[in-house]
Amino acid sequence: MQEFFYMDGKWMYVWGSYAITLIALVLSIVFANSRKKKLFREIEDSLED
Amino acid sequence: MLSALLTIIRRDLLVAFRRRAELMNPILFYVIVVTLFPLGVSPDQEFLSQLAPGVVWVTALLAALISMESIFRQDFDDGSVEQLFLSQHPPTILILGKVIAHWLITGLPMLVIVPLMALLLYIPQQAIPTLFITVLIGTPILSLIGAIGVALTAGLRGGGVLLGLLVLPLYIPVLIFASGAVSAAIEGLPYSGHVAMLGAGLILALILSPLAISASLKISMS
Amino acid sequence: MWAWFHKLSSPKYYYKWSGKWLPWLGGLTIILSAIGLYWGLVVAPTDYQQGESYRIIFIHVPAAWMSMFVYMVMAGAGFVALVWKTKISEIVVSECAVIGAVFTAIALVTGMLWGKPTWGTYWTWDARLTSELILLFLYFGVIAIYSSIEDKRVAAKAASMLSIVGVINIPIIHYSVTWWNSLHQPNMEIVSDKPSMDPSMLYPLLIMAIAFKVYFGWVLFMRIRNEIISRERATKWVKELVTAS
Repeated sequence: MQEFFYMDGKWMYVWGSYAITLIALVLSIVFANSRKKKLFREIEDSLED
Repeated sequence: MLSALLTIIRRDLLVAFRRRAELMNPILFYVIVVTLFPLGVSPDQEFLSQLAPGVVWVTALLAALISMESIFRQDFDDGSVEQLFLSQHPPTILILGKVIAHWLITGLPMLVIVPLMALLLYIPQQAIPTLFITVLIGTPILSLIGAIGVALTAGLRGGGVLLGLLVLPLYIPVLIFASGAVSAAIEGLPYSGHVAMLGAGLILALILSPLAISASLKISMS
Repeated sequence: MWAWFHKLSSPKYYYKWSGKWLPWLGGLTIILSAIGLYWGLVVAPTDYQQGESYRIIFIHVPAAWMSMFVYMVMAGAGFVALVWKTKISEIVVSECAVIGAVFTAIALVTGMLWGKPTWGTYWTWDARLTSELILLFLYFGVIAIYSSIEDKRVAAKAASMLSIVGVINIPIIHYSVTWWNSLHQPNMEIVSDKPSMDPSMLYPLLIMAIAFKVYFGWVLFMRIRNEIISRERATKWVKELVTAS
């Protein structure tokens, strides 16, 4: 298990790459979702007038 | 059609010559920027002659970019672009005429200035004819591709820098083959392959660019 | 078949149709990624030459493939937008520009993080990385021209035009950069090695590649739907949709 995380000493690069990728891709989805909610709220508010 | 082409070229040349002072600007820009390199890096002959093929061509790209601004902007502002599409002649021919006129004004002087500055950067004399050929074939390509960018950004404000962002990546193959040809000539190696690639690029640009420019102008007008 | 395409070009129909696909795209992305990541990180053997750091390829290569693929999709949509002028194709162009730029950036960053432990340097002007960097510039150009025009329908057309010009240039740029690099390559450079890959490494790579594609569909659909809602907010069907939720 230790070995797995240590990645032969190159753990910074390997896990760094995976982290950056995962964060970028996940954030894109999260951001798309929050924009959807924001749009829905905006439109609903404007309808209430 | 040929007469329409020639008329447009004549007309644009006349308009440009009314502002004779402005004609010198791209040339002066070129000379100044090339001068920056020995000043900023090193005046050492061996060093400069190694950099020279690249510097000479990168600066040509930048000068082409600067000079591109003049091609459609004025016509866009004063409505001549619409006239272009309303005329009985095919717009692609008229557009080609405008690009040719633009090249005559901005690219032709390069044929003199570039070899001159290249000598100042210690490019060996035997490479100068090759350099001349690359400028002869390359600068029309720059005008043709650059005009697409100008046509797309004609109505916009951010103008110059945006144009650079759009057009410079497209200029890269010209840069690679042109400076490659000159480097090869300096080493005494064959350069005909590089020049052939440039020639092919010119033909491709001549065929496709007017269409792209026409479509881009229509988009900008909407 | 054309009738179906024609229907899809209506924002309202597209919204309904894409909504059905979302949960599948999302679920498939997660499952495939989980399988691919486990296989690549845990199961796949250590590389003879590179040790453990090679495992970066399981995200670097799919990201690089996607950066190219998304550009093709963008240019294709651009072509449809200019010829058939449908709203959906215009939206696809602007959304692909951003998603494609993200994939390209990921490919570049992971490429750099792979380069350091493997060849000792973060950056190298090898043909692949250089072409990828130029691709990023091309994406930036499309994003820039789209954002600089106010009328978004005109903006999309300009962006479409630029992406079509770009797509013609991509093979030319690749060719010229590869050729340029072959002249200047220092001897010890190992340009991104993908000789023949052992199946134990190839399969997780392919799974991740598919996972990335499905992900692309997922995030693209979400972004298109948002843009549709935003643009069509004055229509009855959007108002009903919003109040019903």
